[in-house]
Amino acid sequence: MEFGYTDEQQMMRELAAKIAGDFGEEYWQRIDEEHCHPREFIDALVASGIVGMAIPEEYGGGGTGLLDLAIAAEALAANGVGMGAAGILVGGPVFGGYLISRHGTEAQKEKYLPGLVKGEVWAGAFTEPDAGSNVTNISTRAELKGDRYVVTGRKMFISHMEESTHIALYVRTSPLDPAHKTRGLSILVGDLPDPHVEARPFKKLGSRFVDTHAVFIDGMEIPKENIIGREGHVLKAMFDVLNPERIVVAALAVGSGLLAIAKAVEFANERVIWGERPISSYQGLQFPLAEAKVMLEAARLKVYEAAWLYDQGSPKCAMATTMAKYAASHGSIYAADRAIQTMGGSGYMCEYGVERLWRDLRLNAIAPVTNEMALNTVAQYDLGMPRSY
Amino acid sequence: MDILVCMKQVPDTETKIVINPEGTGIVTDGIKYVMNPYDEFAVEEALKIKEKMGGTVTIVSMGPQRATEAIRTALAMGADKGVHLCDDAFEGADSYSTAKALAAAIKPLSYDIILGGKQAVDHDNAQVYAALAELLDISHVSIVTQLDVAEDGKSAVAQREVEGGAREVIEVSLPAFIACQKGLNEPRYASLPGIMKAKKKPIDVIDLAKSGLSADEVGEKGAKLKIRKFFLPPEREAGKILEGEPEELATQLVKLLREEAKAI
Ligand SMILES: Cc1cc2nc3c(=O)[nH]c(=O)nc-3n(C[C@H](O)[C@H](O)[C@H](O)COP(=O)(O)OP(=O)(O)OC[C@H]3O[C@@H](n4cnc5c(N)ncnc54)[C@H](O)[C@@H]3O)c2cc1C
Ligand SMILES: Cc1cc2nc3c(=O)[nH]c(=O)nc-3n(C[C@H](O)[C@H](O)[C@H](O)COP(=O)(O)OP(=O)(O)OC[C@H]3O[C@@H](n4cnc5c(N)ncnc54)[C@H](O)[C@@H]3O)c2cc1C
Repeated sequence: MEFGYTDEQQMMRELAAKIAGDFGEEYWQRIDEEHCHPREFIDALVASGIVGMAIPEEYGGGGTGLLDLAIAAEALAANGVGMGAAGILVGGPVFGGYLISRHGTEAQKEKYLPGLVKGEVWAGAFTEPDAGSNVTNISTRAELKGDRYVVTGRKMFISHMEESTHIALYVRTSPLDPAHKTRGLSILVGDLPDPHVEARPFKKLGSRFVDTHAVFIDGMEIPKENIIGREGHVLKAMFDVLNPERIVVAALAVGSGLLAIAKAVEFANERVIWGERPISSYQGLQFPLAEAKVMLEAARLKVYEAAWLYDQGSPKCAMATTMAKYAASHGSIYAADRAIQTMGGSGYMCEYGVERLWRDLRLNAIAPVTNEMALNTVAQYDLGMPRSY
Repeated sequence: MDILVCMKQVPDTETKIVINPEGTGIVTDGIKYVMNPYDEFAVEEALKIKEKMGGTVTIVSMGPQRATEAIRTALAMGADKGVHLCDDAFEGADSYSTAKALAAAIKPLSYDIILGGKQAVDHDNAQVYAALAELLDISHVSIVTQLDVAEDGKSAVAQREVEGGAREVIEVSLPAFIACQKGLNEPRYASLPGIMKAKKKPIDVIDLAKSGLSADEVGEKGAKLKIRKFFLPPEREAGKILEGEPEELATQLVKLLREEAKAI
């Protein structure tokens, strides 16, 4: 067992830190205030090769594994980006990249992967009004008519609709069979924009670097050959997307939490309000930050392990991912909350950026999967307790 | 063009320097090492010349084992191969014995131009390139902020910084050593594909035997200079805050500048 970074991973961390350093706190505050995409940052990330790193070399990518992508994601976050890379790193290499590189046909790989290396993003449309935690409830229908599928339904909370060149739609190609709930689900890749797709944006607490929409689909036509894998058999492909999504988000969360702690410590070391010693000398402020640090260090190891298991193609990846995502979201939200507390009134103000970290991180207890559902999975499949619902 | 870049790995400029208790050097534990920032300009310039004129970029570095990290970084930026002078005998070198070792590694190579930083930010001596150029019997141009290599690759025009912000324009026949200054270019980042490719690029390790030099010509033994003692400059005293009306303040300030600081 080895825990050190390789020379290459160390260089990737440095590359990520350099890019992060080019975009300061003011940049991310502007993105947050204006609810806009971090275009300049994304361009730099694409140019560096980080966006395409996990895409196979034959298609222009870097040919690394998910572990390396997670390491780079964490380093970006910890060096100032926070969760700001989530949109591009999930929308590109995961919603498009892993879906196609693991489950696409040769023709699909040639068609889509080079664009993803160049920074194209995809929407990944799982959630529906009645299918969030319960994905098997998906009711968006796709019917084969001649050489095309015709899709009708509603998708909810779909990220990146404004910038996406494609949408990976998780749909029903046959009605729900209560005995085999995941049967009959399929994945179709559609081009965006499309006249039969209407998207209405939400306003939201955080994660304003990416848009989130309610999507209405009414008769969208998708060529038959745009199906991924076998019609009606979606489970493996779906988790080969969901797991790396959770891992990348968890890696970014670990880095963001560490960033929040670093900001709080720096602030507390400078601030003197009683006598001569800085407020950082009070145990009441030290312990919670130390505790958050321990939570994040532990989460980081689980994130790396989960990513490594994914690269190995191990079936153990799903449980490790669930645990990693829980640990990372839990630890990082706590870290950001304690960073605000340590900084007192200043922490609550936008100028220092910790309140933004907290707002952005708060999402990760809900998406890509809620922390309750994560604990359900651990209780049922790891501990062997009865399913509670 | 066969382009060489002399590159040194140095402590990160953000390192907090701590002198060892004996005063013979600095505490190296926990120090983060990076490519000498001025050498980054040299690597970048080498890559630009290669992109324009074709050829290969070879990184030449003397340093302990860990210096391979910096060589790999240069390879990840786009350099083609590395030459690493690595042997305990090279330790403790001064500018002269460093130049000696570099010259031994460079002599058997074919080169049209050699680039390097104008100084290494660790010892700040800015002498290696001059000694090296002398040993190789080529010219050198220091503190270069602009470089144009002639199309035939036989000469170059370099602009160098001189006192008072003026520029000196020098035409030099090649091969020559060009010592690079900030402003020459904007060093690129090692891209991810570059990082992945760097792994496969060759680094030729040269130890004392392979260098063809004897132990008393290099490292501490070959040094002309002995470092007697390391110490940190005294800590800066707290500033003085003057109070009062602007007119009084100006008088006080001038008085202090003249009498205490002796600055005017
Ligand atoms: C900003 C944002 C971006 C998003 N982007 C995307 C996207 O790009 N693509 C996409 O497909 N989806 C996206 N989502 C959707 C996200 O995956 C869902 O919000 C999430 O899975 C939760 O589903 P839900 O909102 O329907 O909540 P629900 O499933 O309705 O859950 C509500 C609450 O009930 C709890 N709960 C549910 N079932 C149980 C149970 N059995 N036991 C205990 N508690 C339970 C949940 O934990 C939660 O606390 C996004 C969401 C947000 C907020
Ligand atoms: C939105 C907002 C509105 C406000 N409105 C008003 C207003 O209208 N009028 C007004 O007068 N003020 C107002 N305040 C100021 C507010 O009362 C202060 O922010 C609060 O009292 C904390 O002070 P501080 O921000 O200076 O933090 P600090 O006093 O610097 O505290 C920083 C951290 O150190 C901790 N700490 C400090 N001393 C100790 C100790 N001895 N032991 C352990 N921990 C310690 C604190 O608990 C905190 O976690 C407002 C603040 C905000 C955020």
